[in-house]
Amino acid sequence: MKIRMNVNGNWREDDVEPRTLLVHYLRDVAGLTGTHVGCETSICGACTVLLNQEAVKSCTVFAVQANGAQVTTIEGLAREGKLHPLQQSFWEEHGLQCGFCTPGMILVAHQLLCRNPHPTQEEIRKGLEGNLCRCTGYQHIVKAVQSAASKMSATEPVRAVAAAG
Amino acid sequence: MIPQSFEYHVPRTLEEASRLAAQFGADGKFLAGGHSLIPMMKLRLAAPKHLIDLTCLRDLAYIREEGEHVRIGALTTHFRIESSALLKEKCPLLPETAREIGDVQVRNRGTIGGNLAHSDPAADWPAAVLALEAELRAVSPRGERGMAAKDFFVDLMTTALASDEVLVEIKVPQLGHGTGAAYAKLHHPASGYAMVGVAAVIALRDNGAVERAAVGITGVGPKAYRAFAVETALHGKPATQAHLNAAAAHAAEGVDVNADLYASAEYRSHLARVYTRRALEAAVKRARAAATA
Amino acid sequence: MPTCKYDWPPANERRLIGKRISRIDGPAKSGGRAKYTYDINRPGMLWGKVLRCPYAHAKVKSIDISAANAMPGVKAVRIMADVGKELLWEGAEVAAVAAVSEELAEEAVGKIKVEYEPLPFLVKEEDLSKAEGYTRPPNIRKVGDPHKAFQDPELVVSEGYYGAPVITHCCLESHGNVAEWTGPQSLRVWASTQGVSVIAGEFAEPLGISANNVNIICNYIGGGFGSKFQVDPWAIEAARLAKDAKAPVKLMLERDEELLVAGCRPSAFGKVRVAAQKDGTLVAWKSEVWGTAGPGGTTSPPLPYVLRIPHQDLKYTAVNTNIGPARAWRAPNHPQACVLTMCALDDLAAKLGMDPLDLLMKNADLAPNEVLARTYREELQKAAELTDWKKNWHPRGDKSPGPIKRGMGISMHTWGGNPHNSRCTVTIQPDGSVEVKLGSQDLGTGTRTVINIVVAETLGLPLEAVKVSIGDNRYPPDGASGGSTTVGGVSGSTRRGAVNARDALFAVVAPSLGVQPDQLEAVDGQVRVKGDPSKALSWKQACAKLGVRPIEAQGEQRQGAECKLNDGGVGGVQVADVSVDTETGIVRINRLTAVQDCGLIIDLKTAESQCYGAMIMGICYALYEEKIVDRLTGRMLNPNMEFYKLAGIADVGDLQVHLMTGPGYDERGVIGLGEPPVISPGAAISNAVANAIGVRVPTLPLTPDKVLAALGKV
Repeated sequence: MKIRMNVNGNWREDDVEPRTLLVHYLRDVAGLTGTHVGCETSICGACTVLLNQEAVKSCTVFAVQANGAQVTTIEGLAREGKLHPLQQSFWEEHGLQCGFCTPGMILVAHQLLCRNPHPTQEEIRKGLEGNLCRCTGYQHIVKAVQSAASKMSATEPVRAVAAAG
Repeated sequence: MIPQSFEYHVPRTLEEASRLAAQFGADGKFLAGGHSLIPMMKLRLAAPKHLIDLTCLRDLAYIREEGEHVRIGALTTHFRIESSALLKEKCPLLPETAREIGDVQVRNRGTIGGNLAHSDPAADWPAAVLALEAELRAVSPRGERGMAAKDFFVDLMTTALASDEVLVEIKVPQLGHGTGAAYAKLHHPASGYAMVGVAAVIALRDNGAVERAAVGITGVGPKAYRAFAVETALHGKPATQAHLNAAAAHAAEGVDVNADLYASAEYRSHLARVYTRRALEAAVKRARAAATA
Repeated sequence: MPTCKYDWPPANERRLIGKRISRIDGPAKSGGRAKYTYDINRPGMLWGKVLRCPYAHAKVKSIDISAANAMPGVKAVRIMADVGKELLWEGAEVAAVAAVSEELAEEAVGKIKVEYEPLPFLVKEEDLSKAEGYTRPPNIRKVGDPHKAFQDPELVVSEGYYGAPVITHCCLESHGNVAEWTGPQSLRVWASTQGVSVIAGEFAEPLGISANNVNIICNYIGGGFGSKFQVDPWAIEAARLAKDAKAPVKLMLERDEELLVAGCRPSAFGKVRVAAQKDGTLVAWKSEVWGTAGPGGTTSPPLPYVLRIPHQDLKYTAVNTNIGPARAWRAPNHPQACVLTMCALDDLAAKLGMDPLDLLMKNADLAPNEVLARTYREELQKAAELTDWKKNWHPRGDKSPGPIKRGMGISMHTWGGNPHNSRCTVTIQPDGSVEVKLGSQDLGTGTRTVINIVVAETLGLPLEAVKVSIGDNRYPPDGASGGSTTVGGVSGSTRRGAVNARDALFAVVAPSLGVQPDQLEAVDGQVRVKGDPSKALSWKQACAKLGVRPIEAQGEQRQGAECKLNDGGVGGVQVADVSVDTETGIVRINRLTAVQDCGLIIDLKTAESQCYGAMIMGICYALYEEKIVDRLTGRMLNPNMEFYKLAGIADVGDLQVHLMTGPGYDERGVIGLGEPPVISPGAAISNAVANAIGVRVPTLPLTPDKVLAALGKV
């Protein structure tokens, strides 16, 4: 099946089987290996990407379901070679060790800060509950998100995802 | 973890969706958020030859007030329900339940209709719609019909929907004066599904006695159920701790309680009683607050 | 005090060592540019998959790969277990396939027809009475005269049953490799490995090539925890498939395979009897312990743990079971020993009516040596301070009203952490650029950063001025990353290498500054005369004096090497503060506090990180992890992360880390830290739960149903 997708700002067209998962499409077809596979399905969150600005587990979405959509992976966060505040904060606050879960963590944290620019510690923990880390103990991840939040509210207008109700 | 091959269809209208379902019969399955179905396909527990993706039917995602009710389109995501200002005001049990489902990523994709139609024994929405005595509306080539929530869940992962029927809407009452509702859930520590999930809606009389109680329980049996024994024990009684405790004791009565790696049937029954009591306590507290408001 | 030429700079002169430095590979990881083995894609690469035995114990009766072979897109199929081969655990390898896509490889595996003869098996070891025929001859040992000692009527005796089941490593990046033949007799493997420099021979031998011609590369690895030392059968098979198919092959395990066969931590269960005088002085210990590490036998946890109780009666029985074999799991055998000992001592303290912290303090002299005894006393003191123990601790059983009970528990541990052997090369170019190379690996522990700090400190340069190259066995050999030996190893070799390089530079530069080489120092990007900063050259100017020849110096860490830069033997104390919901049995960690020594700390940030990471692994095995195998079918019931639980961000309360530094610690030199903090959480948390609810939950994990069962509620 032919699909079109905007990945990190670039449109691409590919021919994929319907059963190709979005994570495999991104890693093996688009060559963006920053998004990782960590579990059998849907649990660990290492595969998290932004699909039309919403954080999703790309291992539980078929690439064909993202036809025509806009996808942001970890590689798409840095602007002109400069790390996004979240990427910077995860580094500075030591919110990573082996780094395997990090791309997914950063993208779901990005989602959180778009919806809630000044989250409390509890809100951060609730917002990242879909992502597992075997290495860090999470404490520094929380700090990293808090640090990024203050950086982002200082410099960038926050794009909120509207929730119609 | 690769699913078996299938053909993928994107109907543009409800009629087309229904027609495709009728055409493919048992070889076809509807796809909404996919967070129940796709994991099963990856584990090869399900291998439909045709997937009918409903998510282009954007008309089926809405939350609208209509008279004394709120109508929610079946393709509304859990996230949208969680963050709906309208629902927080008119029927807060729904956002409260939505918030407990899975995690942020799951809530961005999963839909209330998909969750209900799939009817996993540990899914959250069934408990809430049972307690709200919601009406579930479905469309097929034969027309449209409504079903009461209590008639919707038939057996393990089996609903009253025919194979060519599309669930299109969930209609719930607005919770009025003197009514309180709560959802108490014990998350499975790894999967996030409900080990036990209890939704309770309590309406109090002016003298504080229970006018109406509806309790929906999920995670305990092969399907979500109304805990009628609990409700009967409460009806007309003062909403005191003693009565709530006594009523909650009936939570798992007459149910074939699930046993799995995490909880034996005995432990799960115990949890059902504990969480029913907690849901009742919270609902009563809110009912009292709603009465004085 | 005479200083040795390689010695660490004194505290007041350190610019980088001991500071909080962000890890240098942070941007690559947070930018998504770090390539793990899973991410390596090679031109023409094929996907490998393995067919695995579904039985806990079986023989292969017949195997037919023809249907798989005939599939278009399938480029190689190999039998790994031929007719007659006996398979000893669920998941044992039977055959392997390489195909042009992952989907096809999976379909092809499904088309291999195998007939098995199922054989009897044992997968449950906790009930010894059911393990007849599967136990090895017990290991029995006595110290002192335990029989007599226990007879003393004045002693207070406590008896209990304690244990921890088999768990897995559950690395987030599964095991796997990409194998590519670079010539008829030469192989390159991108391996998810903890031993870049040490595994070439393990590939070479079975493949009939020389180790010289095996290039191992691992720049980033998503967790190892001890499970990624050896070369796996499926790794060698990937190389064979690559040879047959004449194309590179990527073979990564899926999560179920990972939990079935890629290693586990042995179990240990035991009846323990411990006796003390009324004032808490420990006198006698008796333990009967058993456990399994799969089909291959295992050794006893070191008991009694840490404390040399004078009279000991020890029995250990290894049970063979048909589960995927054990591999080293972070601090092998110590977490088990800690549970068996620290929980028993905690129960003894309760029986004595004594504060368990006081009991440990009182017996600190039973530690293996004076250094540790002193360390424990200081760490116990510190832990008490940080947790306000004397104010917050209550005797066993929280008497406050309501279903939530709160409690505190304490534990201590020990580990080695001596350096492994390591070699490196430090190169200084005439243009001033510096590179350090060694065949080491960074599991997330911060190895790259430690190396960077050591070399930059030594040469007086900023971090960015030093290029760190690891992860390739074409560099000088480093040891494998295990046993908490890496930081000692690499800091030792790179310190020596950098000093040697620096001294070689000084020898060239000294004449132009009119002094002897030993009067020079390299500080703040300059080479200058000690005590006369006006006589200085910038680093670049100094290096330019090299003309066209770079300096290449070696550094080596080995036993007996010149100057003492590192050491071994650490202690550690942890305190857990928990709340238990006695209606549901759910345990919540309010706070876990770790007080840890590790000698001289190179990077405080990565050191603290190691502690946090170890503590979360500890919380996971204390509360959640267990390899659950069905007695009747022999199959693992939770070979997935849906039911094999790891702690999520909402499951962890406050983690508090205090590293012991300064006099008494720094001068010991660098000691490894990866393992010690993972040892105590199980015992500390179990003790805290007992303190909260008034009764011991005997075995880990402390799942809600077991907590309620201990309370007699279910």
